[in-house]
Amino acid sequence: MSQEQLYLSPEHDLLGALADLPEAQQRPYAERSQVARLAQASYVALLAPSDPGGLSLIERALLALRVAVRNRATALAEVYRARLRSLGAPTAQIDAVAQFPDAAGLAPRERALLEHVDLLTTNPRAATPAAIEALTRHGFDATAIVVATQLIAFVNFQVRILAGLQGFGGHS
Amino acid sequence: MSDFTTAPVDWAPWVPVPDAATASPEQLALLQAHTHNGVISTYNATMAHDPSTFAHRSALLGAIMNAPGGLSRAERELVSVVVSVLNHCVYCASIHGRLFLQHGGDAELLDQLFAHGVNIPLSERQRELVDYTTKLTLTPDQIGPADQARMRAVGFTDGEIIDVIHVAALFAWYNRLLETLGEAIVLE
Repeated sequence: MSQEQLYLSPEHDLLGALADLPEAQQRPYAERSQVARLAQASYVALLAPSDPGGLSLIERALLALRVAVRNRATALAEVYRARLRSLGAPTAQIDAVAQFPDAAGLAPRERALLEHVDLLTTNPRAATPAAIEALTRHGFDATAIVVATQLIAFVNFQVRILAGLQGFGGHS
Repeated sequence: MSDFTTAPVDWAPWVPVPDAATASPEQLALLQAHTHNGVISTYNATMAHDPSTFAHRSALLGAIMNAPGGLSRAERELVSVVVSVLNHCVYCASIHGRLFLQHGGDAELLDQLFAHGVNIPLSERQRELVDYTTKLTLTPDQIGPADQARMRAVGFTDGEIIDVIHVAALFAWYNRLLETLGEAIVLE
């Protein structure tokens, strides 16, 4: 099994594996394994759905990478860079996500998505209908906009689970 | 004046909800499951755009807020309200403010939190809980062993700290849905 297949397996615990908890916290963590199982199920559903619909697999991974980068979540950003590489995204495009908005190599549609990531990640209270209209103008339908929002919100969840677990000090 | 309230709050989406005539079988099933006496909440109808994520996140809400053992339910609700106040999610703060009170939370503390935010008089244990939650919410990359140690010093177990992490992370998710796909409408 490749690393990519392992990450996306419903039986894996991506966040638990990245956190590398010390021995002392493994039991209380295992007592809450239902949370890890559902976090993994959400990850698989959002990043690798059988029918991506109006938001492509690459667009999904670009969104996720940008959320990780904005939160300075290094380990998670590496997971999403690897996901983009395995989907065949060009290196220039992957690098552009971290450099945005001062970046070439992104389509207008992708730039609109990353702008939405930055708004929802750093200042969700400033969101307005105009932000949604901007996505609509770039061809995203209502379902794609809801999925993109779920994805951005979900990776913000992942970032905080991982940051908290890493705070136990197992991660060097 | 503060926007926060424990009065019931409605929610108006900024995106069209799925049309039953063109919905996928999964979307239709979700719409039907959440329609009671011909009525479906605008939130559930909006989330029906993405049925699988909706199902997982709803299950997570139960697993994180209702799980036996660990952090008390009132403290879990306090964490959810603190995150919602920091992110200014009036809808989430209303629902979870009421749950905080139902589970024995202090009404005076909630009033203070709604009126003044997190810089309010608190017990030693509440202070650490609120500070830890604030840091994880606003600057997650700054959380480290020193923060965990401060929580332990006022009596939080490792299991309880994991519960705080779970609740704070879940509301980082919920707040971003409710604040950016529509708006809260306070019912008078």
